[in-house]
Parts: sequence; structure tokens; C-alpha cells
Amino acid sequence: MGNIYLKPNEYCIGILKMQLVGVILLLISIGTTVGPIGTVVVMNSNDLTQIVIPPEIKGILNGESSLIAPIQSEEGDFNIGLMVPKFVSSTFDITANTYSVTVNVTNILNYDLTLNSLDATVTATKDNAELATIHLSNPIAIPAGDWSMVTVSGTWTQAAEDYYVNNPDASSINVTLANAKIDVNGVVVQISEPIEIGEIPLTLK
Amino acid sequence: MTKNINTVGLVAAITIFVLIIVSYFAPWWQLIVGNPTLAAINISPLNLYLSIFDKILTIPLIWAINISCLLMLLAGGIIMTVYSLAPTKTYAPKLLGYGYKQPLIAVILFVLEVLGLVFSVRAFTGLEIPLMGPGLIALPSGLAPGGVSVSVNVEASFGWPFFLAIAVVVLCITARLYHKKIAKTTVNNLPTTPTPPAKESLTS
Repeated sequence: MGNIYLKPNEYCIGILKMQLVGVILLLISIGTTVGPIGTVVVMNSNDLTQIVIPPEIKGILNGESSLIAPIQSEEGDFNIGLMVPKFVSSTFDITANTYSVTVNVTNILNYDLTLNSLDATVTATKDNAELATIHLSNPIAIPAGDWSMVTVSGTWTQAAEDYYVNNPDASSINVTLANAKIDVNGVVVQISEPIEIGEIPLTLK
Repeated sequence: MTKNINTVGLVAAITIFVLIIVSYFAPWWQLIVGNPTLAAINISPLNLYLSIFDKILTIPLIWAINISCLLMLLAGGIIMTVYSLAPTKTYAPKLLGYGYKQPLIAVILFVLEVLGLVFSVRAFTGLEIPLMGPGLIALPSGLAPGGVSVSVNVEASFGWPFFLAIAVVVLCITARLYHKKIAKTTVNNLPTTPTPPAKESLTS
């Protein structure tokens, strides 16, 4: 009895190739999915929460750090004067009934801010009489940890003119900002509580 | 004799590689918070850029999924190329079956990622993040001091790579359909040979 040799035909080879390709594709599928995710899991096996929570966010949640840490002042205290305008000077134009007020705005954050808009109503602190409306002419950049002079302008009302006429001896007036709306870097803050500015000198110069 | 090539498949494979490259430079979907920007989220299946106050945050799991998508698309592109150059081989349907699905999987993953982000933020925080276009998100009153209301300008948009990805998916599906035509043509062109007796095929 002679030897019998099996000769695989092209169909069988094709089937084998298909099966081999199928196995390779399956391994690729598993490798591309499990490989990177498995590596990250193994690398963070000591603390698996790190996989989904970045260390920066974890630090903030634990109170250990801040994304926009306030810059400490020289005295060692945090400056809490952010965006609270501090009066510097004012000018009046009696013929055009306009005035401008320059205030000092400090940026205590380690991040540059841009004051896009500032709208408010100036009222007399004494009787809440509406004296003027003010607005910011142009956006102003306030560098991180620095301050900028912000000049706002507006037109005064008849009530303001009456106060000036009725109080000829007054050298200043105590004013408050009401309905303040401030847009900093697209964050719009509307303050319904009045912000006391203090005394503004009444001068025509 | 002209060699059979699935031209549509080859174009699809090339566009997969183009898509991989452009996805690292332009996001598929972008959310900008603030003006000038305070925070930005650029999402694509291959890259997640999360920046808050100029600090770039990396989420390891998302990074791993991005790498996974990159490898998946790379494998898809390579396999699609191999298939397109030899679409009549017996194993070609297997290659095509794997290759054409990868961009589709990437697009589905991306859509789920974006919708998941937008709707989970809406569900858990109540913040109405727009899917497209500008918006003003009002922070919940509990997060702001009394007498103060805070809202943030945001703008969301789909980038052109997303539309390129859709084009790649369409090309891959077209290549899949075109394969049927190639297979049909190949079968029709095969010379008809008599089937050898079973005995002859087993012995030499």
C-alpha cells in the first residue's frame, strides 16, 4: 500500500489565510483597546482615582492648591480688593454735562484679566438720588498681580445738577454705585447690592 | 493584465491618515469659556485639550482612550490600504470588514463623548452648555454670594475635522459597497474549470 499525500487546494489555503487574518485583526482590536487603558491603570495602580481626576483638580478639591492662586501682598495678607474700584480722580465738563471718574482696579490673581465692560448707576449715598449713569468706554487689560487705572465716563442727571446748585459750599459728595454690571473675561457679574465709593470731590477742573 | 484596486478604499485610507494628522491640530468640537478665554475644551477622539486659566489638565483615562483611538484609526488606515491594493484576495473581506468600521467607531465614540459631556454637565450642575453656537451660562445662585448673579459667556462649535471624519466614514462605507462590485466582476472573469474528481484532489 503506497503513501497517501494530502494536497491542500487553494480553497483550503484561502480559508486558513482568512482565519489567520481574523486572528490577527482580533489581536489588533484587543491590543489597541486594552494596551493603552491597561498601561494607564497599571501606572496608576497605587491610586486609581488619578485616572479620572487630574492632580490639579485633586489638589483643589483637597484645598492644597488653586488654579488661580491669589498673589499675596507684602504684608502677608491676601488682598481682597479685586474689582472693587478705589476712587482716584474725577473730571467734569459742565458745558457737555459729562464727567469721567478714574478708579484703581487691582487684579490679585496670577492670571491676566480683561475688563470688557462696566455699567452702573451713581447714586447719592445720602438719599439714593440717581446722579448719573456711567459706562466703560474701552476694554482694559489688568495684568496678573497688577493694577490698572480704569476711567469710566457718563452724563449727570438733573438731580446731580440740583445737588450742585443747592449745595454751593459742598466740596464733595458721597456716592454709591448701584446696579453694577461688570464683564471680566466674559464673566458677567451683576451686583444688586450697592457698592459704596466714598467721597467724590465736586470740582469743575 | 490590470491589477484590481479598490480606488475608493485607497482614497478612504489616505483620508484616514489625513484625519489622524489634522485631529492633532484642530479640534472636532470646541468649547470656549470667557472672552478672552478663561477655559477651553477641545475634543477629538485622538486628543483632549482641557485648559483652565492657562493650565493644561490631563485626564489619564481620556488620554488612554485617545491613544486607543489613534492606534485603532492607524490600524484601520493601514489595513484599509492593504485591502485596497489587493481587494480580490480571499482574506480581503476580513480586512475591509475591520478597516471600514474604525472611522465609524471613532465618530460614534466622539459623538457619545460630546453628548455625554454636555448632557451630564446639564444633569449634574444645571449649566446649559450649548452644543453649537454662543451662550450665556448663569451660575447657580448657590455658587455666588448674596445679591450677586454671575453668568459666563461660552461658545461651542464643531470643527471642520469633524465633517472630514464624516466624509471619511462615507468613503469607507462606499468602499464597502464598491467591494461587492469588484467581487462580482472578479467572479465573472474567473475561467471556468472542470471540478476535479475527489480522488485526484486527495492524492498526488
